[in-house]
Order: sequence, then structure tokens, then C-alpha cells
Amino acid sequence: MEDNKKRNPNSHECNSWSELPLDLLIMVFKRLGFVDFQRAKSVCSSWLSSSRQSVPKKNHTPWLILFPEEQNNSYCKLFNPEEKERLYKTQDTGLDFSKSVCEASYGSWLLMHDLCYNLHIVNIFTNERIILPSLESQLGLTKERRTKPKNRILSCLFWIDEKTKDYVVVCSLDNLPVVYSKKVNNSWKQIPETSECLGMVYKDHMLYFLNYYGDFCIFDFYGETPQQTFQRELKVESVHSRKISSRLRIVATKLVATVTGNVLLVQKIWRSIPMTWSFLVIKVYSYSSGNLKEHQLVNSLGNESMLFDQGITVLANETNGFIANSIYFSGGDDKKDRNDLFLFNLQTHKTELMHQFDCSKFQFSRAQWFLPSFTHA
Amino acid sequence: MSKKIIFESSEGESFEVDEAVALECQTIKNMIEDDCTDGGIPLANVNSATLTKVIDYCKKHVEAAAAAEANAGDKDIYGANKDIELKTWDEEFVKVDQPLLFDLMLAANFLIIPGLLDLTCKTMMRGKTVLQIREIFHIKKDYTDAEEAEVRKENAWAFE
Repeated sequence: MEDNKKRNPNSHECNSWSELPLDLLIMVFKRLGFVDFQRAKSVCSSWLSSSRQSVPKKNHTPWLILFPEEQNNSYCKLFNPEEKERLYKTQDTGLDFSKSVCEASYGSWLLMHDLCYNLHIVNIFTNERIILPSLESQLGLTKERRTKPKNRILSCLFWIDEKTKDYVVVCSLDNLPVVYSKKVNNSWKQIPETSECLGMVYKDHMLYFLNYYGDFCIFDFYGETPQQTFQRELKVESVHSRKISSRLRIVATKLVATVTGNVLLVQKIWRSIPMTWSFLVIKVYSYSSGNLKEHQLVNSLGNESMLFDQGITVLANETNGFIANSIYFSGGDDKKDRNDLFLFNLQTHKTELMHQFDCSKFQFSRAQWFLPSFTHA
Repeated sequence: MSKKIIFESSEGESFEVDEAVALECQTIKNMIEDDCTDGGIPLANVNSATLTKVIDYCKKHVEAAAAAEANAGDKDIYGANKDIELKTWDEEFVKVDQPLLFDLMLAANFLIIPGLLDLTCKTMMRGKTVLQIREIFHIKKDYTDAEEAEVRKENAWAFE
């Protein structure tokens, strides 16, 4: 007997892993990082039920979704900065990405529209889809008018609840006030006095809005209809003019909501001699400590990294490989042509190509950051 | 001369360690406080191979903590490096075969060594796909085909 035990020490351990007592399994799950948690729960039914009794750590590492270039390719690739050697593939989305544009992301969801501005929200992992009401009918746009650039979508953002699937989608269109759609009313409604949108960001049921005249407002979306709760005028010179000087041109303006509780006005500036980008970061509101007496120039993001195109910040750490106090942005200004990804270091004021996320060999050049959040079924 | 504590493995082998090292285990700490460690502590569910590793782990972490305290004033200069060194050591420490990893996890749970428990739990799954986990740990998938399809649908990327 003794002999037998020694010769085959693995015989009893072989089964042990799947027979781990429930409390021990829950304990293991509690300690797993986000990605490992999602994998482990798919292993077998006892692991799945243990995973349901432990809450996964909230994911703080954004992934890149890489849209295909070629026609009739309905798969996307997913890149997790924590696993640089891997590239995941999504399920067949049924979308022709050469004819679809991604406007925004929230959690694992993307807001997409086709060339006819039919909008829908799709979950990258489960492929679940929510068709949004047509902009055309609600706004009385005709086909001819829609194709004119003056009625194009300037920017879109959205929020969705993973469990209830309640959503809020907000769109700014040229020459029109900002419109929003909620799951409950399933139509588009205008938010009064929100024309000439320069930038907006949505966080914790609040819409932060800035127009070309420097009016900054906050709309509370908790109730049935959005309520304006705050307004002030920003006296930022560069808001009013697109051109700072003959060599400096503002190419994009964004409102960014940070993880530490600030709303920033961020301007991407193109310098023609020498040809470089730079960024102007101004703190306009602090939702943790309330209103600021006046806006403040921000010289450092501390340990945060900003995803400029998404209007968010993430905490940089050694696991996710993000560089603190840097702004990540795409080179092109047109959403359809986001080729290279760059990062601008706020301390050194240097811009570099994002080498560590080099995906060039995969022929997927349109990329968008998103922050995976899995439904905890 | 620091006080010594004697552990006895499931095979009956004795291991003498400094009290400071034994204090890394919450369970032993409680026993020491209750003054019931005379004549050695029998650990009927921890074998010698596992116990050797557990003691290694506790020793290293006691030393690291002592070194960190001695350098407390210079923490800004040396702190980060020390952390990296200990992390690297931890990573090497858990490069063991699956049965030993499993025993280490159980021992960490039984002796209540939070750091070791964390380390072993994370190591168990790190970077493995669903199919790899099943293979490495000899776990039979007990889903029906329909359930498996459902799980895959929700989590397709995890199977790649």
C-alpha cells in the first residue's frame, strides 16, 4: 500500500481540484484577477456556481477592439494589454465593419451606426444587440438632408446598466440641440439650449456639456427628464477660436471624466513646426468637491492615464502597463480613419507611437479602447 | 536567542523554526498566544515537502519585512526595489508542480497565511484558457452540450 502511494503520488491529487470544497473555491475566486475569474468560471458547473457566490474584482484595464479593414469581415480582434502575446477574436458580429462606424464604448458595449445612421448598441462578448430608435424619423430628417454634412452626428455617448439593460444614449448633431434616448421612452428627445455642442461626457447619471460659447452645464439624468442642475461660463480663450496662432491649431476638444472625480476640458493641439501634437488640460469641475471657483490648468494627471477618444481616465499600474500621466489618443481625427495610436507624456511633452501594443501584423488598424465589464450572471 | 517552535509534519518529521517565522501563520499565532505550543505542533494534514516550502515562504517574508523596517527611512530609495525583489522571489517560489501547489494552497488556508494563499490562488489560474485549466487540473467538464454551448457563447474569448 505504502509503495503504491509513493509510486503514484498524483493519483489522489488528480481529482482534488474539481473536488475542492465550495468554501475553498469561493476563496480562490475571490482572489482572482478579472481575466482569470472569467475563464475559471467556465471550467465546470461547480466552479460556475462558486463564481456566482464571489464578486469579481472590477476590471481597470481597458482592452483594444481592432476593427477589420477588409470587406465582408465581421470578426474583430481583441487585445488585452495584460496579455500582450494574445489576441482574441470576437464572435461573428454579423456586421460589415467596412460599412459601420463605432461612435463610443461603455463597458463591454459599443455604440455603432451604419452609413444610414441606423444606431444600435452591441455587446462585444455576448453579441447581444439593442436597436435604437431611428434618428431620421424622430428629427424629421429626410434622406437628402441627412446626407448633407450639416446634419451629421458630431458625437455620441451612452451608458447602459449590465443587469437591467436600461440605457441612455446622447447624440449631438450639427445645427440641432443635443438629443437623448432612454430605454423607457424609446424615442429621441431634445435637451433645450444645447446647440453648438463642443464636448460632452456622461458619468454617474450626469451629463456634462460644453458649447462653443464656453457655456458649461450639467444635466441630471436620474429622473424622467434631464434637469439642468448647474451652469457657468468658462472663460477659456481657446474654446472660442480654433486657431491659437499660425502654427498652433486645435484639432479636437473633449470633456473627460476622470476616475478621481474631475471633469477636464482637454484640447488636442497640432503644431505645424515642428509637426507635433500637444495637449491643453483644464479642470472645469470637480464632482467630488463641487464647483470650482475658476478653471485650473492641469499639469499632471498623477497616476492616471487618459484615453482621450473615450473621454475617460484609467489608473496606470505595472499589471496593465499603462504609463501614468499620459494621454492615449489616435492619430486620425476622422472616426473612420483611426490608424495609429499614440501617447503624449504630460511631463516630458513628448509624443510617441504606442509600441507595446503593436498589432500591425494582424491587418487590423482601426482600434478603439473599451473597458470590459462582464455581466455577472 | 529567539524562541523556537517545533512543527511536526504528517509523516512525523520535526521542523524547528524561529517563533517569528511561525508567527506568519495566523493559526499558529493564536496557539502561541494561548500558550499551547509546548511539545511541538502536530500538523496532521501537511506533509514534509509542503511544510518545507511553507517554512521557506515564511522565513523569506519575515526577512523581507525586517529588511524593509531597517530601511524604513530610505523607503523611497530602496522600497520599490525590495518590493520587486520579493515579488520575483514569490514568482519563483510557486513554480512547482500542480499537486504541490494544491497542497500549498490547502496548507496556506489551514495555517492562515494570507500572502501565500493569495499567491497560490492566483498562480493556479494565471494566463490559462478554460481548456488548459481542465487539462492541467484533470477536471471533467460536467456541462451538458447545451450548457457548454451557452457558457461558450457568453465567454467565447476565454476558450481561445
